[in-house]
Amino acid sequence: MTANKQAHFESLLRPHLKALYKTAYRFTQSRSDAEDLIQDLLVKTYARLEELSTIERLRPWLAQVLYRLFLDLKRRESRSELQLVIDNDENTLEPTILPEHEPDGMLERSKTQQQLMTALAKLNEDHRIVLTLHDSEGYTLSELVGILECPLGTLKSRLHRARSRMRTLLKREQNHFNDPKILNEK
Amino acid sequence: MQCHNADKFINDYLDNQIKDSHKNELFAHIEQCEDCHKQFNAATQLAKNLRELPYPEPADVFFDHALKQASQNQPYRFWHATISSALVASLGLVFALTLLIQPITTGPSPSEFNLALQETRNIKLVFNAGSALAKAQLSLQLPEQIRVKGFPKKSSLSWKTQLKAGKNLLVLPVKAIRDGKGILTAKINHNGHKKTFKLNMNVNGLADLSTVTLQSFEA
Repeated sequence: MTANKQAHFESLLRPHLKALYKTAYRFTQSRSDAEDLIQDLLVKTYARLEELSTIERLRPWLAQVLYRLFLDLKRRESRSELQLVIDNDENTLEPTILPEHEPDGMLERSKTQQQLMTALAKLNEDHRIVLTLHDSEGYTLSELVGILECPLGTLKSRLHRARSRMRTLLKREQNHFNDPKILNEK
Repeated sequence: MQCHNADKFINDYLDNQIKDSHKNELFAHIEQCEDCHKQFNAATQLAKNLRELPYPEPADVFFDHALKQASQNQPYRFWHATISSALVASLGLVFALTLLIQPITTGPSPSEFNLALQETRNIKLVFNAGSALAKAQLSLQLPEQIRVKGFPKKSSLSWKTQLKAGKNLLVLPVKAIRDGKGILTAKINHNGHKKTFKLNMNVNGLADLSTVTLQSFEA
Protein backbone atom coordinates (compact mmCIF):
# COMPACT_ATOMS: atom_id res chain seq x y z
CA MET A 1 0.00 0.00 0.00
CA THR A 2 2.77 2.39 0.99
CA ALA A 3 4.76 1.42 -2.10
CA ASN A 4 1.71 2.16 -4.27
CA LYS A 5 1.25 5.49 -2.58
CA GLN A 6 4.91 6.33 -3.10
CA ALA A 7 4.71 5.33 -6.77
CA HIS A 8 1.56 7.41 -7.26
CA PHE A 9 3.19 10.40 -5.57
CA GLU A 10 6.28 10.11 -7.74
CA SER A 11 4.23 9.78 -10.92
CA LEU A 12 2.40 13.00 -10.07
CA LEU A 13 5.37 15.06 -8.90
CA ARG A 14 8.39 13.92 -10.87
CA PRO A 15 7.32 15.49 -14.22
CA HIS A 16 7.23 18.90 -12.51
CA LEU A 17 10.33 18.73 -10.34
CA LYS A 18 12.85 20.23 -12.72
CA ALA A 19 10.62 23.18 -13.56
CA LEU A 20 9.76 23.68 -9.90
CA TYR A 21 13.42 23.56 -8.94
CA LYS A 22 14.10 26.29 -11.52
CA THR A 23 11.24 28.32 -10.10
CA ALA A 24 12.63 27.84 -6.60
CA TYR A 25 16.01 28.97 -7.86
CA ARG A 26 14.45 32.10 -9.36
CA PHE A 27 12.89 32.83 -5.96
CA THR A 28 16.03 32.29 -3.93
CA GLN A 29 18.95 32.75 -6.37
CA SER A 30 20.63 29.96 -4.44
CA ARG A 31 20.94 26.30 -5.35
CA SER A 32 21.00 25.26 -1.73
CA ASP A 33 17.91 27.25 -0.83
CA ALA A 34 16.15 26.02 -3.98
CA GLU A 35 16.87 22.41 -3.01
CA ASP A 36 15.59 23.07 0.49
CA LEU A 37 12.39 24.55 -0.88
CA ILE A 38 11.80 21.55 -3.15
CA GLN A 39 12.41 19.16 -0.28
CA ASP A 40 9.98 21.04 1.93
CA LEU A 41 7.46 21.11 -0.90
CA LEU A 42 7.64 17.34 -1.33
CA VAL A 43 7.22 16.66 2.36
CA LYS A 44 4.21 18.96 2.53
CA THR A 45 2.54 17.66 -0.60
CA TYR A 46 3.05 13.99 0.21
CA ALA A 47 0.74 14.49 3.15
CA ARG A 48 -1.89 15.86 0.72
CA LEU A 49 -1.65 13.15 -1.91
CA GLU A 50 -5.41 12.64 -2.24
CA GLU A 51 -5.91 16.36 -2.85
CA LEU A 52 -3.05 16.39 -5.38
CA SER A 53 -4.79 13.76 -7.45
CA THR A 54 -7.81 16.02 -7.89
CA ILE A 55 -5.94 19.13 -9.03
CA GLU A 56 -6.31 19.75 -12.72
CA ARG A 57 -3.34 22.03 -13.32
CA LEU A 58 -0.79 20.84 -10.86
CA ARG A 59 2.27 22.91 -11.69
CA PRO A 60 0.86 26.37 -10.91
CA TRP A 61 -0.68 24.94 -7.76
CA LEU A 62 2.67 23.52 -6.69
CA ALA A 63 4.39 26.80 -7.58
CA GLN A 64 2.00 28.61 -5.27
CA VAL A 65 2.89 26.26 -2.39
CA LEU A 66 6.54 26.79 -3.28
CA TYR A 67 6.13 30.56 -3.09
CA ARG A 68 4.60 30.31 0.37
CA LEU A 69 7.51 28.14 1.48
CA PHE A 70 9.87 30.77 0.06
CA LEU A 71 8.17 33.44 2.16
CA ASP A 72 8.64 31.21 5.21
CA LEU A 73 12.31 30.79 4.32
CA LYS A 74 12.75 34.56 4.12
CA ARG A 75 11.20 34.99 7.54
CA ARG A 76 13.65 32.45 8.96
CA GLU A 77 16.57 34.17 7.23
CA SER A 78 15.65 37.51 8.70
CA ARG A 79 16.17 36.01 12.15
CA SER A 80 19.70 34.79 11.37
CA GLU A 81 22.38 36.46 13.45
CA LEU A 82 25.39 34.88 11.81
CA GLN A 83 28.05 37.47 11.12
CA LEU A 84 31.68 37.35 10.12
CA VAL A 85 34.33 39.53 11.68
CA ILE A 86 37.22 41.07 9.79
CA ASP A 87 40.76 42.26 9.86
CA ASN A 88 42.17 44.63 7.26
CA ASP A 89 44.19 43.21 4.44
CA GLU A 90 45.30 44.46 1.07
CA ASN A 91 44.22 41.28 -0.69
CA THR A 92 40.95 41.57 -2.50
CA LEU A 93 38.12 39.35 -3.60
CA GLU A 94 37.64 40.07 -7.25
CA PRO A 95 34.01 40.89 -7.87
CA THR A 96 33.92 39.43 -11.36
CA ILE A 97 35.54 36.34 -12.79
CA LEU A 98 35.40 36.07 -16.53
CA PRO A 99 35.84 32.69 -18.15
CA GLU A 100 39.15 32.36 -19.94
CA HIS A 101 40.24 30.38 -22.97
CA GLU A 102 36.73 30.16 -24.36
CA PRO A 103 35.70 30.72 -27.97
CA ASP A 104 34.62 34.29 -28.61
CA GLY A 105 30.96 33.39 -28.96
CA MET A 106 30.89 31.60 -25.64
CA LEU A 107 32.75 34.42 -23.94
CA GLU A 108 30.32 36.94 -25.37
CA ARG A 109 27.36 34.85 -24.21
CA SER A 110 28.92 34.48 -20.78
CA LYS A 111 29.37 38.24 -20.59
CA THR A 112 25.75 38.81 -21.52
CA GLN A 113 24.56 36.28 -18.97
CA GLN A 114 26.80 37.69 -16.31
CA GLN A 115 25.52 41.20 -16.98
CA LEU A 116 22.00 39.86 -16.91
CA MET A 117 22.46 38.07 -13.60
CA THR A 118 24.17 41.06 -12.04
CA ALA A 119 21.34 43.33 -13.15
CA LEU A 120 18.75 40.84 -11.91
CA ALA A 121 20.41 40.71 -8.52
CA LYS A 122 20.02 44.48 -8.27
CA LEU A 123 16.29 44.40 -8.92
CA ASN A 124 14.09 44.49 -5.88
CA GLU A 125 12.74 41.09 -4.98
CA ASP A 126 9.17 41.63 -6.21
CA HIS A 127 10.41 42.81 -9.59
CA ARG A 128 12.96 40.01 -9.91
CA ILE A 129 10.44 37.31 -9.08
CA VAL A 130 7.69 38.47 -11.42
CA LEU A 131 10.16 39.09 -14.24
CA THR A 132 11.92 35.74 -14.02
CA LEU A 133 8.76 33.73 -13.46
CA HIS A 134 7.07 35.33 -16.45
CA ASP A 135 9.91 35.95 -18.89
CA SER A 136 12.30 33.15 -17.91
CA GLU A 137 10.05 30.37 -16.69
CA GLY A 138 7.07 31.08 -18.90
CA TYR A 139 4.30 31.35 -16.33
CA THR A 140 1.43 33.41 -17.70
CA LEU A 141 0.15 36.47 -15.90
CA SER A 142 -3.07 34.68 -14.99
CA GLU A 143 -1.05 31.83 -13.47
CA LEU A 144 1.06 34.33 -11.56
CA VAL A 145 -2.07 35.90 -10.09
CA GLY A 146 -2.62 32.59 -8.30
CA ILE A 147 0.99 31.78 -7.53
CA LEU A 148 1.95 35.16 -6.10
CA GLU A 149 -1.55 35.90 -4.78
CA CYS A 150 -1.54 39.34 -6.31
CA PRO A 151 -4.11 41.17 -8.49
CA LEU A 152 -3.56 41.10 -12.26
CA GLY A 153 -3.25 44.88 -12.63
CA THR A 154 -0.63 45.08 -9.91
CA LEU A 155 1.34 42.22 -11.45
CA LYS A 156 1.23 43.74 -14.92
CA SER A 157 2.49 47.12 -13.81
CA ARG A 158 5.13 45.43 -11.63
CA LEU A 159 6.30 43.34 -14.58
CA HIS A 160 6.49 46.36 -16.87
CA ARG A 161 8.41 48.38 -14.29
CA ALA A 162 10.75 45.41 -13.79
CA ARG A 163 11.53 45.29 -17.53
CA SER A 164 12.16 49.01 -17.63
CA ARG A 165 14.41 48.83 -14.58
CA MET A 166 16.28 45.88 -16.10
CA ARG A 167 17.02 47.84 -19.24
CA THR A 168 18.44 50.69 -17.15
CA LEU A 169 20.53 48.33 -15.04
CA LEU A 170 21.81 46.48 -18.09
CA LYS A 171 22.98 49.72 -19.66
CA ARG A 172 24.95 50.40 -16.50
CA GLU A 173 26.38 46.89 -16.52
CA GLN A 174 27.43 47.27 -20.14
CA ASN A 175 29.09 50.58 -19.26
CA HIS A 176 30.81 48.86 -16.37
CA PHE A 177 32.24 46.23 -18.72
CA ASN A 178 33.41 48.93 -21.08
CA ASP A 179 34.70 51.15 -18.28
CA PRO A 180 35.62 49.16 -15.15
CA LYS A 181 36.00 52.36 -13.13
CA ILE A 182 32.20 52.46 -12.88
CA LEU A 183 31.81 50.04 -10.01
CA ASN A 184 28.88 49.01 -7.87
CA GLU A 185 26.70 51.83 -9.07
CA LYS A 186 23.17 51.42 -7.70
CA MET B 1 0.07 55.29 -33.45
CA GLN B 2 2.28 57.60 -31.38
CA CYS B 3 5.66 56.76 -29.89
CA HIS B 4 4.32 57.19 -26.36
CA ASN B 5 1.99 54.21 -26.93
CA ALA B 6 4.73 51.96 -28.22
CA ASP B 7 6.12 51.07 -24.79
CA LYS B 8 2.75 49.82 -23.57
CA PHE B 9 2.17 47.83 -26.75
CA ILE B 10 5.66 46.30 -26.56
CA ASN B 11 4.96 45.19 -23.01
CA ASP B 12 1.58 43.79 -24.03
CA TYR B 13 3.35 41.95 -26.84
CA LEU B 14 5.87 40.46 -24.39
CA ASP B 15 3.03 39.58 -22.01
CA ASN B 16 1.35 37.72 -24.87
CA GLN B 17 -1.68 39.87 -24.23
CA ILE B 18 -1.72 42.15 -27.22
CA LYS B 19 -4.77 42.45 -29.46
CA ASP B 20 -4.18 41.67 -33.13
CA SER B 21 -5.14 45.19 -34.12
CA HIS B 22 -2.62 46.66 -31.66
CA LYS B 23 0.05 44.26 -32.84
CA ASN B 24 -0.47 45.37 -36.41
CA GLU B 25 -0.29 49.01 -35.31
CA LEU B 26 2.89 48.34 -33.36
CA PHE B 27 4.62 46.56 -36.23
CA ALA B 28 3.59 49.25 -38.69
CA HIS B 29 4.93 51.91 -36.33
CA ILE B 30 8.31 50.33 -35.70
CA GLU B 31 8.80 49.99 -39.43
CA GLN B 32 8.66 53.76 -39.60
CA CYS B 33 10.25 54.77 -36.29
CA GLU B 34 13.89 53.94 -35.67
CA ASP B 35 13.81 54.73 -31.96
CA CYS B 36 10.81 52.51 -31.30
CA HIS B 37 12.32 49.81 -33.48
CA LYS B 38 15.45 49.85 -31.33
CA GLN B 39 13.31 49.78 -28.20
CA PHE B 40 11.35 46.80 -29.53
CA ASN B 41 14.54 44.93 -30.43
CA ALA B 42 16.07 45.63 -27.03
CA ALA B 43 12.95 44.43 -25.25
CA THR B 44 12.61 41.23 -27.25
CA GLN B 45 16.35 40.52 -26.94
CA LEU B 46 16.07 40.93 -23.17
CA ALA B 47 13.14 38.52 -23.12
CA LYS B 48 15.14 36.04 -25.19
CA ASN B 49 18.14 36.34 -22.87
CA LEU B 50 15.89 35.84 -19.86
CA ARG B 51 14.43 32.68 -21.40
CA GLU B 52 18.00 31.38 -21.76
CA LEU B 53 19.02 32.43 -18.28
CA PRO B 54 21.21 29.67 -16.84
CA TYR B 55 20.65 28.04 -13.50
CA PRO B 56 22.72 25.57 -11.49
CA GLU B 57 21.55 21.99 -11.79
CA PRO B 58 20.76 20.28 -8.50
CA ALA B 59 22.95 17.44 -7.29
CA ASP B 60 22.72 14.27 -9.41
CA VAL B 61 20.55 12.17 -7.14
CA PHE B 62 18.74 15.07 -5.51
CA PHE B 63 15.27 14.48 -6.97
CA ASP B 64 15.38 10.72 -6.31
CA HIS B 65 16.40 11.19 -2.69
CA ALA B 66 14.00 14.05 -2.09
CA LEU B 67 11.06 12.03 -3.46
CA LYS B 68 11.92 9.03 -1.30
CA GLN B 69 12.40 11.11 1.84
CA ALA B 70 9.08 12.88 1.37
CA SER B 71 7.17 9.76 2.36
CA GLN B 72 9.10 9.61 5.61
CA ASN B 73 7.98 13.13 6.43
CA GLN B 74 11.49 14.46 6.60
CA PRO B 75 13.39 16.41 3.99
CA TYR B 76 16.65 15.07 2.63
CA ARG B 77 19.00 18.00 3.07
CA PHE B 78 21.85 18.53 0.71
CA TRP B 79 22.13 21.99 2.10
CA HIS B 80 21.10 23.69 5.27
CA ALA B 81 19.39 26.87 4.21
CA THR B 82 19.54 29.18 7.13
CA ILE B 83 21.34 29.07 10.39
CA SER B 84 19.20 31.00 12.80
CA SER B 85 20.37 31.67 16.29
CA ALA B 86 17.70 29.35 17.62
CA LEU B 87 18.78 26.54 15.32
CA VAL B 88 22.42 27.02 16.21
CA ALA B 89 21.52 26.74 19.87
CA SER B 90 19.29 23.73 19.41
CA LEU B 91 21.74 21.71 17.33
CA GLY B 92 24.81 22.69 19.23
CA LEU B 93 26.59 24.17 16.24
CA VAL B 94 29.42 26.41 17.26
CA PHE B 95 30.63 28.90 14.71
CA ALA B 96 33.45 30.77 16.35
CA LEU B 97 33.66 34.07 14.58
CA THR B 98 36.72 35.87 15.77
CA LEU B 99 39.21 38.41 14.55
CA LEU B 100 41.70 37.01 12.11
CA ILE B 101 44.91 36.03 13.83
CA GLN B 102 46.30 33.32 11.53
CA PRO B 103 48.40 33.99 8.44
CA ILE B 104 47.18 32.97 5.02
CA THR B 105 49.47 30.50 3.32
CA THR B 106 50.01 30.73 -0.39
CA GLY B 107 51.16 28.35 -3.09
CA PRO B 108 50.30 26.87 -6.44
CA SER B 109 48.43 23.80 -5.19
CA PRO B 110 45.36 23.61 -2.98
CA SER B 111 45.89 23.43 0.76
CA GLU B 112 45.47 20.06 2.39
CA PHE B 113 43.85 19.61 5.75
CA ASN B 114 44.65 16.39 7.57
CA LEU B 115 42.43 14.79 10.17
CA ALA B 116 42.51 11.55 12.10
CA LEU B 117 39.37 9.42 11.96
CA GLN B 118 36.80 10.60 14.53
CA GLU B 119 38.92 13.66 15.27
CA THR B 120 37.17 17.02 15.67
CA ARG B 121 39.11 20.08 14.56
CA ASN B 122 38.50 23.68 13.63
CA ILE B 123 39.03 24.65 10.01
CA LYS B 124 39.77 28.32 9.61
CA LEU B 125 38.32 29.73 6.43
CA VAL B 126 39.53 33.15 5.44
CA PHE B 127 37.62 35.23 2.92
CA ASN B 128 39.21 38.38 1.59
CA ALA B 129 36.80 40.99 0.35
CA GLY B 130 37.86 44.06 -1.62
CA SER B 131 34.83 45.91 -0.38
CA ALA B 132 31.98 45.30 2.03
CA LEU B 133 29.48 42.78 0.67
CA ALA B 134 26.00 42.92 2.15
CA LYS B 135 23.94 39.74 2.11
CA ALA B 136 26.67 37.57 0.61
CA GLN B 137 25.59 33.95 0.25
CA LEU B 138 28.18 31.68 1.81
CA SER B 139 27.84 27.96 1.04
CA LEU B 140 29.90 25.00 2.14
CA GLN B 141 29.86 21.63 0.40
CA LEU B 142 31.44 18.96 2.54
CA PRO B 143 33.15 15.78 1.34
CA GLU B 144 31.74 12.51 2.62
CA GLN B 145 34.68 12.17 5.01
CA ILE B 146 33.74 15.11 7.23
CA ARG B 147 30.72 16.73 8.81
CA VAL B 148 30.24 19.97 10.67
CA LYS B 149 29.90 19.44 14.40
CA GLY B 150 26.22 19.53 15.29
CA PHE B 151 25.11 18.64 11.74
CA PRO B 152 26.08 14.96 11.41
CA LYS B 153 23.80 14.26 8.44
CA LYS B 154 24.33 17.40 6.40
CA SER B 155 26.74 17.45 3.51
CA SER B 156 26.08 21.12 2.78
CA LEU B 157 25.50 24.34 4.64
CA SER B 158 24.49 27.69 3.27
CA TRP B 159 23.59 31.02 4.78
CA LYS B 160 23.64 34.72 4.09
CA THR B 161 26.05 36.96 5.86
CA GLN B 162 27.75 40.33 5.78
CA LEU B 163 31.32 40.32 4.52
CA LYS B 164 33.29 43.39 5.43
CA ALA B 165 36.22 44.84 3.51
CA GLY B 166 39.37 42.86 4.24
CA LYS B 167 39.77 39.43 5.76
CA ASN B 168 36.77 37.57 7.06
CA LEU B 169 37.46 34.53 9.17
CA LEU B 170 35.10 31.63 9.70
CA VAL B 171 36.17 28.95 12.15
CA LEU B 172 34.36 25.76 11.24
CA PRO B 173 34.35 22.84 13.70
CA VAL B 174 34.45 19.62 11.69
CA LYS B 175 34.60 15.93 12.57
CA ALA B 176 36.21 13.19 10.47
CA ILE B 177 33.70 10.37 10.09
CA ARG B 178 35.24 8.32 7.29
CA ASP B 179 38.68 7.50 5.91
CA GLY B 180 39.77 8.91 2.61
CA LYS B 181 40.30 12.09 0.64
CA GLY B 182 37.76 14.65 -0.45
CA ILE B 183 37.35 18.32 -1.25
CA LEU B 184 35.62 20.92 0.85
CA THR B 185 34.13 23.62 -1.36
CA ALA B 186 33.24 27.06 -0.06
CA LYS B 187 31.37 29.46 -2.30
CA ILE B 188 30.60 33.13 -1.98
CA ASN B 189 27.84 34.57 -4.11
CA HIS B 190 27.11 38.27 -4.05
CA ASN B 191 24.87 40.00 -6.57
CA GLY B 192 25.61 37.32 -9.12
CA HIS B 193 29.38 37.51 -8.61
CA LYS B 194 30.66 34.18 -7.43
CA LYS B 195 33.91 32.83 -6.13
CA THR B 196 34.70 29.26 -5.24
CA PHE B 197 37.37 28.08 -2.81
CA LYS B 198 38.52 24.48 -2.52
CA LEU B 199 40.36 22.75 0.25
CA ASN B 200 41.63 19.17 0.08
CA MET B 201 40.60 17.09 3.08
CA ASN B 202 42.54 13.98 4.04
CA VAL B 203 41.24 11.71 6.77
CA ASN B 204 43.67 9.05 7.98
CA GLY B 205 45.01 7.60 11.18
CA LEU B 206 47.36 10.48 11.85
CA ALA B 207 46.45 13.86 13.22
CA ASP B 208 48.12 16.94 11.80
CA LEU B 209 47.86 19.79 14.23
CA SER B 210 49.11 22.50 11.90
CA THR B 211 46.87 25.42 11.16
CA VAL B 212 45.56 25.53 7.61
CA THR B 213 43.87 28.46 6.02
CA LEU B 214 42.25 28.86 2.66
CA GLN B 215 44.40 29.66 -0.32
CA SER B 216 43.08 28.15 -3.53
CA PHE B 217 40.22 29.40 -5.58
CA GLU B 218 38.66 29.22 -8.97
CA ALA B 219 35.92 30.97 -10.88
